Amino acid sequence: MANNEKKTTTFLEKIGQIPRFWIYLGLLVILMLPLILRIKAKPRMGMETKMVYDFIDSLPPGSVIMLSFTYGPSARPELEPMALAIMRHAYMRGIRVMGMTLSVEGTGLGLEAMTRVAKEFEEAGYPLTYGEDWVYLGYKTGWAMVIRGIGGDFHETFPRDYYGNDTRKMALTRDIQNYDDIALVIDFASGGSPGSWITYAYQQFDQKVAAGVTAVMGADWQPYIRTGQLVGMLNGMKAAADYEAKTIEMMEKRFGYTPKPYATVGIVSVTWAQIYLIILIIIGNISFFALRRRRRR
Amino acid sequence: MFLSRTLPMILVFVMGIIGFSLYFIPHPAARQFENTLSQWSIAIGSFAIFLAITSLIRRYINNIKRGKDVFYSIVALVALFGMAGLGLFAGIDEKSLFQKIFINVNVPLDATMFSLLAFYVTSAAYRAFRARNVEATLLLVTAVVVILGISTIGDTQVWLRKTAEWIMNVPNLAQKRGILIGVGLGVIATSVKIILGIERNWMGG
Amino acid sequence: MIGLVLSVLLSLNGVEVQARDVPDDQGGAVELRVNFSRPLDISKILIYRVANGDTVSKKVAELDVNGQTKIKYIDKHVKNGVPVQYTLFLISQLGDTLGTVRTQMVEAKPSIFNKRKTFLLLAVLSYIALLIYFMSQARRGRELYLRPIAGLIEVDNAIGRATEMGRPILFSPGLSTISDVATIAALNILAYITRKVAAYETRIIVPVYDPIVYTIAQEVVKDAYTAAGRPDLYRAEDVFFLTSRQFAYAAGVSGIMVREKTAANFFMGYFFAESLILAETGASTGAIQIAGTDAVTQLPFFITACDYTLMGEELYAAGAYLAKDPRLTATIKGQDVMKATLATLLLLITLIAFIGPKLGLHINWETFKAYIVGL
Repeated sequence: MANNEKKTTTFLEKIGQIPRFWIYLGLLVILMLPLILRIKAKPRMGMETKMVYDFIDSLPPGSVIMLSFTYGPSARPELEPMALAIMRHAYMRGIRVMGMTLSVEGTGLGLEAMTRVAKEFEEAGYPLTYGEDWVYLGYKTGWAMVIRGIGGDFHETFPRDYYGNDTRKMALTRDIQNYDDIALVIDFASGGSPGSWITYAYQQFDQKVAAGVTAVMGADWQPYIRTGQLVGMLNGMKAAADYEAKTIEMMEKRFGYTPKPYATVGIVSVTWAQIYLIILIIIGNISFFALRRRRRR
Repeated sequence: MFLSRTLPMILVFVMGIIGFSLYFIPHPAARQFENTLSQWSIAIGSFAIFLAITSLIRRYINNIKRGKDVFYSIVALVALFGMAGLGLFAGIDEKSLFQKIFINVNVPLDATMFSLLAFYVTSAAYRAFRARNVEATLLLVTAVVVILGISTIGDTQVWLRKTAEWIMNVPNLAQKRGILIGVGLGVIATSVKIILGIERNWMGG
Repeated sequence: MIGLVLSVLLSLNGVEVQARDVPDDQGGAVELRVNFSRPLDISKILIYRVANGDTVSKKVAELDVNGQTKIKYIDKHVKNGVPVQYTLFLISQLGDTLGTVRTQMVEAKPSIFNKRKTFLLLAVLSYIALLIYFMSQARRGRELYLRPIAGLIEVDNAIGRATEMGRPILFSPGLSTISDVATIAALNILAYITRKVAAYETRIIVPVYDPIVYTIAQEVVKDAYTAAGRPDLYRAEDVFFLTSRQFAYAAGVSGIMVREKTAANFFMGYFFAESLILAETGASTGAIQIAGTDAVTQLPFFITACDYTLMGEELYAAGAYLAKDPRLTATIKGQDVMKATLATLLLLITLIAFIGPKLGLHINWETFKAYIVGL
């Protein structure tokens, strides 16, 4: 009996020191499974995400919103599904979308996201017209100066779109003078850019601003929702999945078309990984208490 | 001495006071001046890129000469000149080779580095979250509630979601604001020291 | 009041319209306030503007009334210094024009000083005065006690350990630019560490993210070697620009830590999501790690994976603390006094917010926000 107990204690101690390799391998398997099996979640919208959704939903058809793709490839899996979902929502509500980026890395990613949704609507049988329903302005250097510039004179800041078209001539951008004509700016960011939008667009021009951020940075921007400086926030993969699920459902109902899901699949991996993490923490603590008990003895 | 010490300190003092004052002046002339300053700083900053790239090239060439990390150094140099050359001479539009390399090499590499975070977070949490004392136990319980509450599990367990949101919006936000107030005061103090020329390490000690 | 032109004209009973220049702004804006003193069957208001000397008026807005009794509209497209006049058409539910209201001439003017920021200016000036007072006290030789910061005490030990092991030290000044105080604080610490490193004849590797920070870091390290009397030990290739891409930087620094087997790693400055990648890789190589950042969300990662972490303002204090210059440490005292003042004020305001209404004290929080907070 005593021998047995000693063995158990040793085992409990051991599980508190699982080598990194096995922890990593376990996580890899758990992350991969839902992606391979394409298990989808049916998430329910969180409060901060719903604030953005409701705001867009309340805009009158014909309004213009602006998306800023201020992220690089690393944040793409989290942020791109958010952008896609918001565009789908906007187009279905008859809201027009302008895209731009403050980071060089975001140029190609923004273009890809915008063209993808345009393609989805074409496949669904409701083609969108470039220049009327959507416009991609591309990259503009200067960061805060660009944000301020839009508040002064939009056409001066963006005289041409990504393809070199004159923004004074395109149907969508023709009447946009400054922030007064933009109902909402949503900044998809992996860094500190929402702060610049808040400081320059919101503080100086009363522009409504929302943010879509990676989960790692989410807590940074939460204080700004409480103060009303952000109309809402999409935080990480969970928010992306919430919004995506909602827009996929809307498109299925209206067009009988299902866009390819990204975040609703990704969030299953994330949830499984979170459960795996909690199990590991529990194992670590069982081992810790076993060790402490033995030491006390 | 004048050019390397006195002049920079005078410039910092004058520009520091102007920069501070600009915050309180909404007049368009002040905004215009601020924009001009930003443009200058962008233009001056661009020169630093040349110095930086020179340092990069010098370091890798030295490595190759000394036979240290030769393979990595060659990869770095080829990538640097190759991408710059492609961008300059073959264009950067959607169908260019530059874009293709960016999307198919850069994007996955960057995403891989970012995804390492998941592994590191798991390993760090496993090692660090031990209920050693009351504070650590509190931290542990809070972490578990927040992790579960903001995940899809919180979608069905409303109490868990509400508790997690309360933790994030009340105690978490309160501590964060506390730190931010300290940071804000520290930023002002450091700026004052720099403007008054007491703190000089920024110009090389 | 400068620039304030008030006009009230009633051409329809029960409707009051005020037009005035928006105060404390960069100009170009006129505020219109419409008040209905009795319920009217109005669904929409069309606003037209005409500039002085012009004959054609321009439609600037169409506002929905929806039963509101007070409507505010700001026209942001007015030229500074040109008097303008507004005509408001009140439209009924059926689409008929119930009446028109015309304002007097009003002129948009830019302000020289934003009065909303007066309190903020006074607060900052008092704080600066406090800092200068403590600095002058320190200059006169007054001793100021500072609590020990564990992370800073360990800096010397970490350098000593690296020297004993014959391995290099890594210093990362973060991923922000030189305009960030965290980066400046990091460079202050770098200067101190380099002087120690020079004295111990150890090697320091400084991979930099930002080109401008790189040029300054190079100067800091070179000067520190010279100040320590060992300019011969300075190796230009050890202070280098690595890359300006977040995760490429994380990969690069991780590679250096693994290949060079650094014995001590310092992560000082502003960091983003890559913080844990850096700190975990460093921890896996067995190096002593000291981090310092004011990036609040990254603090938990550093605390978990590093041996010591300087939190928030501790990072700014580090340079002063290590340099042992009494004028620099004096400012920390000033910060503490200001912090105590702010904490007391916050408590007082919270108390007033709770008890005030019960005592019949009514505070206009909007005005408070506008003139005290400056928002």
